[in-house]
Amino acid sequence: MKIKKEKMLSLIDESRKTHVVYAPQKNGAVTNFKKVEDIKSIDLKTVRTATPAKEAVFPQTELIYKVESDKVHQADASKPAILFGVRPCDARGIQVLDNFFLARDRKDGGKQPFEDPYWKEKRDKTLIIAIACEKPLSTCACSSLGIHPASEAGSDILLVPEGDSYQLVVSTEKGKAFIEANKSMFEDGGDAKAAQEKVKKACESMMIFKLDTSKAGQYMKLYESPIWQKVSQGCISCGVCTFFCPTCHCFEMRDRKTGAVSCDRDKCWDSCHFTVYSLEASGHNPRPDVAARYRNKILDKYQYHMTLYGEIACTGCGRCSDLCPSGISLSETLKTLGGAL
Amino acid sequence: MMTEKTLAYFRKIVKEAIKSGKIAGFLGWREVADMPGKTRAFVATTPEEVDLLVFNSFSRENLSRLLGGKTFYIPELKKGQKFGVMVKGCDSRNLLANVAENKVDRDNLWVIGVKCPGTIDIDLVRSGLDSDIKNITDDGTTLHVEMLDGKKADLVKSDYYDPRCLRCPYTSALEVDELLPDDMPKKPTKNWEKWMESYLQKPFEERRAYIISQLSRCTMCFACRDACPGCYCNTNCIMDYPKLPEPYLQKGTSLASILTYHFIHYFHLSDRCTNCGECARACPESIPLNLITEQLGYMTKTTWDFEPGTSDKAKTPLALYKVEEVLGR
Ligand code: SF4
Ligand code: SF4
Ligand code: SF4
Ligand code: SF4
Repeated sequence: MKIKKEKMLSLIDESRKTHVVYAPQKNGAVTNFKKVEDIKSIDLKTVRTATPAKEAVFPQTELIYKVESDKVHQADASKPAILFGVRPCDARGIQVLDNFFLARDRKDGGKQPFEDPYWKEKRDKTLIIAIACEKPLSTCACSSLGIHPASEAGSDILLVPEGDSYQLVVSTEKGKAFIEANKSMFEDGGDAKAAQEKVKKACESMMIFKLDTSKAGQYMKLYESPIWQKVSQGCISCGVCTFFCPTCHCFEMRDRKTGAVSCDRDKCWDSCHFTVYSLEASGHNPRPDVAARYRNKILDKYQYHMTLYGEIACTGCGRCSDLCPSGISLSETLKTLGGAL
Repeated sequence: MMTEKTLAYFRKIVKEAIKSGKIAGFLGWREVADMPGKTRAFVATTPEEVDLLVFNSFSRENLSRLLGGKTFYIPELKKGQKFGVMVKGCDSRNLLANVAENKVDRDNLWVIGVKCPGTIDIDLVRSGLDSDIKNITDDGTTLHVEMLDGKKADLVKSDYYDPRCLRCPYTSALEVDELLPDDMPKKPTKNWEKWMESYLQKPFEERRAYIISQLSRCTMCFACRDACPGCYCNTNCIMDYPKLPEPYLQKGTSLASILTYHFIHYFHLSDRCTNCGECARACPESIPLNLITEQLGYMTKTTWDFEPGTSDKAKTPLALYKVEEVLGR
């Protein structure tokens, strides 16, 4: 099945009547997912947004409830949403985050009976329309992580560019229902698998950044090693590599006073790279230095998540390396760690 | 970029210093194998490691931020031993400023400076290309770029300087123990004071609206604070205080919180900011924070005739008051 590119955009425009649509849009020198007010502002040329698409399901600051003197008001339920123009690495990121936020039996034998209702609510109501990447950035490494530039993992519908149309790969019931409801816009014909393969090959042939995943799950052996000092050299604990990572999920609750007897409770992103993240009330900090915090980040992605859910919590999007103000590359880190095993 | 000769000389003196035990290690830059156009901080502790040290147009990280405050890289020193560090002009000013504020013990350092030829804004280079960079080299006047799609481009280097370098008046590192020979190409300069005067002619409302429109995408990651060599409060930073009830001092991304944070950051840096540009460089959202720092620099200079980080003794104007200031009014 396929759809003409401009028809897809008018369908998105039409959908704004029933859905909140988030899509990449230019804002100053960067492109980020923002609510679409005008489809002309959608930017599908930029390969990777600065902030990952997780923002739409896991907002950086999310109101949970309001307190007014002795009353508590739950935040309003969210509206059905479409997350449009998501790159495969970000779509996969949202799938990885399900591990953490939803109930499941874990690989280590543990049970995870609770789910985060705020994640679940938004997740269920969000339709993810991904778009395959025709070209990579220097730090793109999705193909090292079991997905690829035209992967449908994590999306409800994947658009694969082919001439003036998109071939469609529909992976979920949610995706099917959306297509069914808008049948008249789509045409039959073409070979989605072939288009997918073509875009994948072309994009992969240009990639230069490789992440060595072969040793994932073994890094615990290096826990006490001085190697972490080496790989984290120059790190300033700024947290950019975690805030902007499509699989990072730490958050904290903040109460914000809004009046004499009222406050808002917000769920806000947090980062294990922040100095105060693990600071205890006693003054003791179990991760007192940059190396300990850097180690936690790497182990969380390439060790702990493996143990708990059997998957690496990294989609190879490349942001941690690209945006790091200290030039620290994940590829280099994994190579160095691998060499020490 | 240094000439082969200077690079060899630089590595030679560092190796000698390590071998003789004069220094415990040397903090400089090295290339990042898989990220073209980037370098990272690196501490060489053996003569072999010294061969990895470089200085080129991409050596942008301000190394003085690693010498004090929240990230300590100075290892334990034996009696009489020092720790070596390489500085550009801007790095040297931040170092001096921190020495003046007793945050770094200058006696522990052996500082090698360069006459900086300016650095290249690699993101600016990348933003103008159809395909991202596979490799980039610099011959002093031209950037030779090889792109991922196999195409090549030769770019005029002067179009891609980091804006902070264009305005930088102190390319030659200040008060160092050894200044490397001046054999590098000269960078162009922008008269930013003049530019600032014309910028300030714009109506206040217009400037305010612009800066707010840019700051509104701030994620409150505080990378601009962490990158700042002058921000050394460590875990005592007010933004890290866990449970402040004040409505605006919160991690959440309301515009009020964002503006409060930036106001606090730049107020604390108002007469201390050296305009090194690290905050703007670190910002993952590419927010033009330089508009704020340049204005601070301009005001500090025109109000007090003071340039932070030009001496290891001078106290910053807001840290002092003169009796006349109080009595005179
Ligand atoms: S982005 Fe770089 S400097 Fe910042 S915390 Fe991550 S590794 Fe450290
Ligand atoms: S600001 Fe000045 S000293 Fe710093 S890199 Fe630019 S030209 Fe060199
Ligand atoms: S305030 Fe900005 S320009 Fe000034 S020293 Fe800090 S990071 Fe550099
Ligand atoms: S680095 Fe940028 S996004 Fe992060 S807090 Fe500073 S201005 Fe905001």
